[in-house]
Amino acid sequence: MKNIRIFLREIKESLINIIRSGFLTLISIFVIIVSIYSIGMTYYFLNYSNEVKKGIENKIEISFYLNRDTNDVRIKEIENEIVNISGVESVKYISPDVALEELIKEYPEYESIFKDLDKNPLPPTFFVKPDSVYSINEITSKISKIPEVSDFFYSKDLVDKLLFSIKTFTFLSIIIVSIFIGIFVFFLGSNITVSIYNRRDDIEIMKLVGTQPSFIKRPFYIEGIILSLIGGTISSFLLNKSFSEITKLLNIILPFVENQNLSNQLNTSFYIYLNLSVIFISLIVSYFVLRRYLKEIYP
Amino acid sequence: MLKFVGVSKLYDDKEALSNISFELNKGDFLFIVGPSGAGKTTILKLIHKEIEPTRGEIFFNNSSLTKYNGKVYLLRRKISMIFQDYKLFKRKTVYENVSFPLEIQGFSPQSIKNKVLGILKMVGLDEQANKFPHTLSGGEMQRVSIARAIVNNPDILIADEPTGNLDWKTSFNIVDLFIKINENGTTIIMSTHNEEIIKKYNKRILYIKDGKKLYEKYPHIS
Repeated sequence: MKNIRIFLREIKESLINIIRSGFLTLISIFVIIVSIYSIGMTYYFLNYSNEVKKGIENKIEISFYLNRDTNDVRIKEIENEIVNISGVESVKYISPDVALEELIKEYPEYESIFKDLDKNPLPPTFFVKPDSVYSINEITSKISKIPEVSDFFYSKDLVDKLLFSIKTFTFLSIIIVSIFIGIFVFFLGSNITVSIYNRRDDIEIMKLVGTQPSFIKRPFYIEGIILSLIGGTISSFLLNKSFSEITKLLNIILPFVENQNLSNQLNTSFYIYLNLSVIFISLIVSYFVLRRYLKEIYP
Repeated sequence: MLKFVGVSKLYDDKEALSNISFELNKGDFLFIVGPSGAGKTTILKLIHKEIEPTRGEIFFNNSSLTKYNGKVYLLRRKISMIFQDYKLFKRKTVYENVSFPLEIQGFSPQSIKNKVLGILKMVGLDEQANKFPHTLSGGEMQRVSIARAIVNNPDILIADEPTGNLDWKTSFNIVDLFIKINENGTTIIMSTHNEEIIKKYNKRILYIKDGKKLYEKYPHIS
């Protein structure tokens, strides 16, 4: 019971300090909001770029043609070889006859021309779907080594640009997140340092009247948690609103991107983890700052 | 209760105290007297365990304070200290200042209220409970400081020049309050260089100069 009363007293002390710190408290909350919001937005775009990648991956297909004289047995063998290449999600074979039928369906106005041909000009064709853009190079390399393959196509430029964009964006995102975590840690550390400095007389008196060190330290931790929770809640609310509006806008600009996975990732758990991470960082920073500055008072 | 045995204290090769010995029993009242820089505050800081002696040993309740490796904050709840500059929490009311030592120990709100109001009445500040220190006079602030020091019911109350910032009339009132607390059984050690106070109150005196004990005078028994 005594410990509970002491803990409640520490919470009261923290709340009084938060209110009395006034401007410093507002600055701290503002920095927490800006940091979390920026980290959240970067995370959003990182995930969105992943969805863009998946959307494009769904559209990418490698098509390759075999020599017209390739027999059915060999075609079956080639199909099995392709299925066994790592990174291949699915393989579809289109015979020259089926390809011609589809061509006629697509261009009915030229039906008579196609039917008048002595010989079907279309080669046996395979359509290969990779499981990721990163598998394309390996698949095309192996396909090109099959002697019967006469030619193959895929959107090389698009894939290369996509891979470059994703890598660049991921790299920049990591840098941005690191910078904002750094800013957050710096301001939180400065805030605690200034708080300790502002309260150095009170801390000195506390020490002289027999206050246990935990009673001096814990209010700083509790303050950090409270400020993180306030900043975290406000930024979570802002992030939620921003995610919803930006997603609507992006759905118009990039309709081929599926957002289902994204909304699954940015659910309540995301906000809980985000806030818990902020509280964790705040506790770690508080621990090191308090250890450094209170060592002189409570060696 | 408290015993100094050949205690010396050096600050950067400068001897602040030299081979001081004395003994106090429970309920004693001791004036430590001497000019500024004599070493009075050093003796009090040693008792309060803010500093450690360079040589010698201090005993409190038959245990060595010098070898004490327990929690200092627990010790300071038994040895309370009062300062010339009061050392009050500026942003706490009189009531909050006095209740603080009890709150950090987890006393119940009712028990805190009873104790604090009782002590404030004793020091004559029951009407000022909700005031902040800056609105009080020097004498009132020192009485808040005394109230905070005794609310814990300490074994020893040490006061470092508690009347140093006060006029003579207020000073006598403060010492009268110490006498009253002492009559309730609390051991009191008070440092002063105020000759009027020493003459008026027939109490034991430890006179020190340049860190050395010049003499020790016991009260007249009439």
